[in-house]
Amino acid sequence: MLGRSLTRTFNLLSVFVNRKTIYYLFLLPAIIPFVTFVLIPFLYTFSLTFRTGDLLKLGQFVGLNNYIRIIHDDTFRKAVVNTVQFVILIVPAELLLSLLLSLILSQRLRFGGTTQAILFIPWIIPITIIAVIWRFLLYPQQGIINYLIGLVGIPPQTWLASESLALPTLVVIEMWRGIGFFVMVWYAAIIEIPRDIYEYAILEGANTFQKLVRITLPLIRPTFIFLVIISIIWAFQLFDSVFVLTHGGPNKATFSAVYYIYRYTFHVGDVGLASTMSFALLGMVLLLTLIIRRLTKEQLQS
Amino acid sequence: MKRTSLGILLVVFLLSVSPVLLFSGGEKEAIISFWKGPHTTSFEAQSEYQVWESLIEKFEKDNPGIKIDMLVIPFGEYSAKMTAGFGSDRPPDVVYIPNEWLYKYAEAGLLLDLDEASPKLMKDLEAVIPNYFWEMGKYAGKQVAIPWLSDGFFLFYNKKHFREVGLNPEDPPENWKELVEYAEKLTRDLDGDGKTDQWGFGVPATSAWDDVYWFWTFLWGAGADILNEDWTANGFNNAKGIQALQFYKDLIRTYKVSPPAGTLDYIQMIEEFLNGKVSMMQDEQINSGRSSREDHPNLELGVAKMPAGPAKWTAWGNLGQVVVSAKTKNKDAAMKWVEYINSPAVLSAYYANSDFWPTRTDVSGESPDNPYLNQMAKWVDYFTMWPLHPLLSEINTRFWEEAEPALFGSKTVEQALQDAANAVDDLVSRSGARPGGK
Repeated sequence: MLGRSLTRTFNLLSVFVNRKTIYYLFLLPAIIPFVTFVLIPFLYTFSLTFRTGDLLKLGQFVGLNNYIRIIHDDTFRKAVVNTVQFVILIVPAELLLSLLLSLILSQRLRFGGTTQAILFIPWIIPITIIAVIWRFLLYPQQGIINYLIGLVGIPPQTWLASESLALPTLVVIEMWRGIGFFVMVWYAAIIEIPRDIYEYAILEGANTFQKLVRITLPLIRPTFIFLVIISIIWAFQLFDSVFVLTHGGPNKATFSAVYYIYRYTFHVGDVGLASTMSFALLGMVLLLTLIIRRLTKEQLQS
Repeated sequence: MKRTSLGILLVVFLLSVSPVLLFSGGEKEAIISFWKGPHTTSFEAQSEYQVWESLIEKFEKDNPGIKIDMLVIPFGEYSAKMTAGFGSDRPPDVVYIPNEWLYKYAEAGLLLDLDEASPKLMKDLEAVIPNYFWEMGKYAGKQVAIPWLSDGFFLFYNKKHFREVGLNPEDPPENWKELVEYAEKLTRDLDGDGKTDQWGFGVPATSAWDDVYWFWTFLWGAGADILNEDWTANGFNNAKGIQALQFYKDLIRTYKVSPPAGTLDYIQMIEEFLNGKVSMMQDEQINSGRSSREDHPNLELGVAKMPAGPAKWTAWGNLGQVVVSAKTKNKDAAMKWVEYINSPAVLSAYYANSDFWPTRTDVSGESPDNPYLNQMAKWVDYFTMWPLHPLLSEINTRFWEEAEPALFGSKTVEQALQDAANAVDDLVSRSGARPGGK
């Protein structure tokens, strides 16, 4: 029905304009929002990297000064290091754990659907509720986690107040939040693999490990690449759990790149520096994505 | 052909934006957007809306053609929301702004000159608002804000805990030395497992942007200040500032009378106090309110002035003011709303439901059901208000970013204050603002 009316519209328009223009017309509903909400803000933010001042009152043009400032800015360095540490910790852990869980779930166990639903719940819980839940769990004096580790003789920890523990604690919280999504995507990829390949492998005498390494993993490689890229991008965007749980502390131990951008835009009033940081972050994510794509290009083609 | 193509593109574009063009104009009703922070029932937005519901209803009934679109913004999001709102082409019309953010908007020329907009109302209000407050609504000689609400810090303490350790609950600590003595007695391991179950004095010391407010009481008590007199540099990187931060740090790390730094922010610390896990803390008067007491019926609350510092008996105080955006498209309607919310009838109705004090002297700040509020009202002259610098919020943030590490022991107090001084000096030199907005 839709196809027919589109064809009719196309034929009608082709009386007045050439085909190429019609193609562009059909693209307009996508191009207008893209230009309005992505391209213009992108260019505007880029122009801010050469200015001082805040969003209310922009200051003078300072050339490349903001780029020089962030290189010498200790807080910026700390934010980048924290973010990279976070990415290194969370990406492999989340991918491996979610893959493991989805492999187990793909065995069509009883309560598999329920388990998947339970795993997915944190993904849809608002961050403010997550903050309340985890504060309760991690509370230094009466928290459940400290109670549990106390049972095996480990002294209570100040999870979010310790400079060495705060970032790993955020990794665990963010993993708990995101694991449901990753499991769902892995699971969808795994169950798409035709069963007859496995049946043929069984006839050939393949064991479980061989089936995993020779069939499952190679066939879900595109999903793996997608999840690696998406998890890196999300990890670089670490913000809301920092905002509600640690405010970047203790002692800037969880000050992330995006939190830096937020803080310097709205609380320090240095939008030039914050915009410069945004572009530095964009550069890092872009570079990593390109490297991953390059490394996996041949594998994907094969 | 090229021209035809362009023509078609233009028609499609106009069609796609026509709904916006058609429905954006021709409004007969003046809609006044009114933004405010929550001040009723422990800063909850819902109760703030409830208090305003009947007040707005009455205003709209008396002023046909004007609608009030109210938005209650949690204080954690205030700065971001205001920056985005005032940075846009359609800022809110009437806004409640606490002093820490006000002067930034005044300096940027985003606030309406109220003397010019409604000289009679300003004259009437000037007659009933103390000059000390009234002057804080001025920037560069213009009246850009109306002082609307005041608050500040006091010592909140648990009388039952005092009795349990042999302290007289009617005799709270009056100076820093006594604060330490009392707090040490009140810090207790109740179940004998070697861990502290009850803290003597709670210091909110996380990276939360507003935890610094609790420190200013100690800085001023030691005789230092945030900025020097002419705002050309910081006023804390000196012996008095060092004394203040050292004492603050010692409460946590040396005397160990407060939960470790980073553990509890202000909101969590209040919960701990109300739940009897913390015996004393510096708190705003709102938490003496009915709801806090109803939720914690076993709490035997005591209130007093914060203990005096070596130089001054003082505590942090603040003022919230009402402003009108210079870009408002409905100036007359906005001023009608401003007049209404500053009328004695509305203020009385509002303050009966809030645990703050009005600035108008002809409106009673007495609370029918909060004796603590009435008691604290007698002490408000001990407040110190912060410098009304346009970058005050930024100064707060950058100071705390650099000073907080001292509470973890990862910087010396001297180094922390030196770093904070560098950051604040950079901000004030960038701004170039001077007292009075001149």
